[in-house]
Amino acid sequence: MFSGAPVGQYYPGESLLHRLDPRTKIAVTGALVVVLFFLYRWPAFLILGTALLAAQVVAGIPLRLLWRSLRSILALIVFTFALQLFMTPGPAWFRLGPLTATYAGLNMGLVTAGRLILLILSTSLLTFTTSPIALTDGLEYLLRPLRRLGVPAHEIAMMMSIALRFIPTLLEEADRIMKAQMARGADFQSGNVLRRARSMVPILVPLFVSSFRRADDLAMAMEARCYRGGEGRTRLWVLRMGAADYAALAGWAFVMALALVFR
Amino acid sequence: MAIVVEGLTHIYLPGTPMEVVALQDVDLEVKDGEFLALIGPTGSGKSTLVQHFNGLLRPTRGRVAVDGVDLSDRRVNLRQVRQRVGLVFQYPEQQLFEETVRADVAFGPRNLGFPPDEVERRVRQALEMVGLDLGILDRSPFELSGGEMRRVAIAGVLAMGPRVLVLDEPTAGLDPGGREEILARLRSLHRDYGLTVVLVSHQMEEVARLATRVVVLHRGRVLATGSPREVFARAEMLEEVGLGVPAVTQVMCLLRARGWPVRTDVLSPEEAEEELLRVMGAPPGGQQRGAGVP
Repeated sequence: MFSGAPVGQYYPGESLLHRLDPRTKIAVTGALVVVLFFLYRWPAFLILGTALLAAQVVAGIPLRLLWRSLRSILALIVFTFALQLFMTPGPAWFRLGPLTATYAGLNMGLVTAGRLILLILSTSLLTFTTSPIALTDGLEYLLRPLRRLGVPAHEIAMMMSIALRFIPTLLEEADRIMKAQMARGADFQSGNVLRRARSMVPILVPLFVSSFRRADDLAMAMEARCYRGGEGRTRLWVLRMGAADYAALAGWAFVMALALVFR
Repeated sequence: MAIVVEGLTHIYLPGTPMEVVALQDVDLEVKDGEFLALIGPTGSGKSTLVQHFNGLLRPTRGRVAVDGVDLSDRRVNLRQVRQRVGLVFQYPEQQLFEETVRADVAFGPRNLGFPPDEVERRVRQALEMVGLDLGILDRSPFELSGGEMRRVAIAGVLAMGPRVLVLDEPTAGLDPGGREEILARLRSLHRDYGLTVVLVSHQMEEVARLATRVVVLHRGRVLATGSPREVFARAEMLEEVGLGVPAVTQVMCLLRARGWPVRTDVLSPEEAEEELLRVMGAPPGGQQRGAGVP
């Protein structure tokens, strides 16, 4: 049922974008998200949209996957568009019952929709091309300066990678327990909400029991290997910015600057 | 009651980079009343195969029929199929969830809609079938020993009243005592209760002792099938796929390689003893075991 469900949406590959340093990709995505909120006019959207689509093609991401992640927020896009269309004051465009659509609203609606779409395109590009482990690694490096302010960067990253590491395990286990209970005639699909919620008990109890056992084992295994937090800890894979990373940073800085010029 | 598998192919996550072909063109029949052992190295598709026997997985290609009823037919009542083909997963004690043994074993029959007194009767009978004392009925399953928990879980499937019992590595991770107990119970379920048993295993000793027929899976295909004697006679093939033969059979093979004229299709320590005595020419019922070594 859940078997092999991808974590997040990492799409394994060997493209240029896959091989970039995760910090580069996180930084670019972060900057893109900020830049998006300064854009108002279509040429700017066109520039960023084209650049993002080109990047997806370079990364070898099938377009149907992009469509799948867009579809998940389609309702949100339509809703915000409608909200802007009818709630923005200004000269009337048309009336629908008690509601008045305005030209200013149409404009604002399109801008919001464009921002949302580009937001999804850019964050998807990050999660499609960066494995969850690389993502947390990059995040730890980027959070490191905040340690002076008391942010436990290493611990946050460690918790994230443990959580990510165990999502597939948990899904697999949930799948197995679910099947085992179905083999005993359990039914998870029919009945009202209350019945369905009750039918989850035979899955959740075993899942909790084994999660606690697993957490215990993991803590023991980490201690057995002298884990003592982030202080003075070295890494097997040291992140290194290469020529490609600086080129990517420069390229995206140029694209974003161009978009801001036409905003 | 027979399960017929024809041209079964199962592919996980088809059309993605994570695609895995777990089974490929598998033809197989589970005959009424037999004790079939399904052996194969890790990842050979054993677990995937048995999950098709009660419709938990659907074939990518091919078909599975239970008693002549094609499981891919949308009108099939899968609950009925799952009642007749009981499936015990690996480490089944991990699926226990109720507060008492009674309630947990009753989960299956209650789902099937039996009245309370019938449920109670089935719970008691199922516990007897796995050799557990009825005194544990009101105890929490989580207080029991590993072997007992596993037998409670098996009872949970037996309480549904299956005609075919499929077990996925039922002795994995148990101590020798717990393992013997489970194996003895399986033998009795087959012999005394007339259940058709399918045992997934990579313990060759278990298979040699219990099975009436063996199917060897390797990389999602059926590599060999036959009686334990026929299959274990092909020691080289089994070793090649990482399975091997029972230790006694191996000893006989080694003796033969050294020039001793012993039979190598020997499956149990008792048979081996007899064969060795024969070769050594000891008189039947002779003085002392081990006497007469040349």
